[in-house]
Amino acid sequence: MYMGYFATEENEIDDNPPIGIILTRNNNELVVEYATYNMDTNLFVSKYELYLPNKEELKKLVDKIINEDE
Amino acid sequence: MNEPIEIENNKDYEELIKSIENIVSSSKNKIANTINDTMVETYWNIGKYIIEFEQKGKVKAEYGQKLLLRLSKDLKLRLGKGYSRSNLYNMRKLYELYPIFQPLAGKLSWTNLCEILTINDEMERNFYIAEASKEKWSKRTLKRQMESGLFLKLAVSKDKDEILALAKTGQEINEPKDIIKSIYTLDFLNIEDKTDYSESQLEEKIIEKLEDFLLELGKGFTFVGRQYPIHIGNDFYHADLVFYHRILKCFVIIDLKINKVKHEDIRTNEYVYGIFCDRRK
Repeated sequence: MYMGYFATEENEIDDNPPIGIILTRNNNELVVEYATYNMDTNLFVSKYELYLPNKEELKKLVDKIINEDE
Repeated sequence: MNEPIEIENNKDYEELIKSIENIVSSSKNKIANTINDTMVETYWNIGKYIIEFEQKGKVKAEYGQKLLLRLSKDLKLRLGKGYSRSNLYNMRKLYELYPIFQPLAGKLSWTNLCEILTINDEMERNFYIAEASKEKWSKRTLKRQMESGLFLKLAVSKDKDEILALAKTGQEINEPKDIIKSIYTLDFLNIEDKTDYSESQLEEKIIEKLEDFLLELGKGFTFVGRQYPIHIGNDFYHADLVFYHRILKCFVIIDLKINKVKHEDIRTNEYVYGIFCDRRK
């Protein structure tokens, strides 16, 4: 994704380092872990979906985060 | 001082026109906002009166529905349109959920508020109130963001305190991770999930629906280019989609991957990034 190229060739003086997003159909959690563990850069891996999210499922996950920390 | 002034191409005169235009349009806005705020507060008060009336008479739930129906008929006769049963229901609900008006003052249009009142979860509701008013969302945008679960998608990769802050103040953008969602909803591309399509076809579809894609990316993104040419040494490469983020003041490079992300994809990036970081030092 050539973040380095952008940092040196395209950035203006006031610009911050570029951010990269790998937008992927299959989000392989291991790879995400590897990516975030191994690099202290602004590279992120996210997944895209071609349908509306199941909000109830997401809500359950969010509720779990809220309740777990208590 | 009686000499006629030269009006054509007179800069001061053009500025005079501009300042008058500006003040008129800004006061028109002010009036519209005041009308809206007063309207929302009035509706909130109507909701309050209805609930107080019910409490006085200890109205049962089934009677409550009848009350709104009856009230709607009587109010329409006296006050005209705008007092349908569903609208009265929303006014009642507004007071029920927000017995103190202050936090709502000057925030949202009545139509947007009605949309938000359909959300059961308090955190989620408060997030959309904060975000819709900060970003001045149209009804269409608000509906889309609710439908695609913006709050939940942002919340799911945060911890408890971050979620509470998100609900309270809306989305704050201070660092790169603040603009990242773990899931991007691209249903508007109308691609069947099971069909085979290539990365360039996906990119093509995104470009066709760029407006929707920008909305899904979130606030602050501007489109810079696609297949952005990159020249490293003697080799040419292309970055799939390039954006610029106005709040973070940085480029955002999006790479589309239909198949699993391989370690190579990340390593290559790391490598290229490393070379250039070294060179900068």
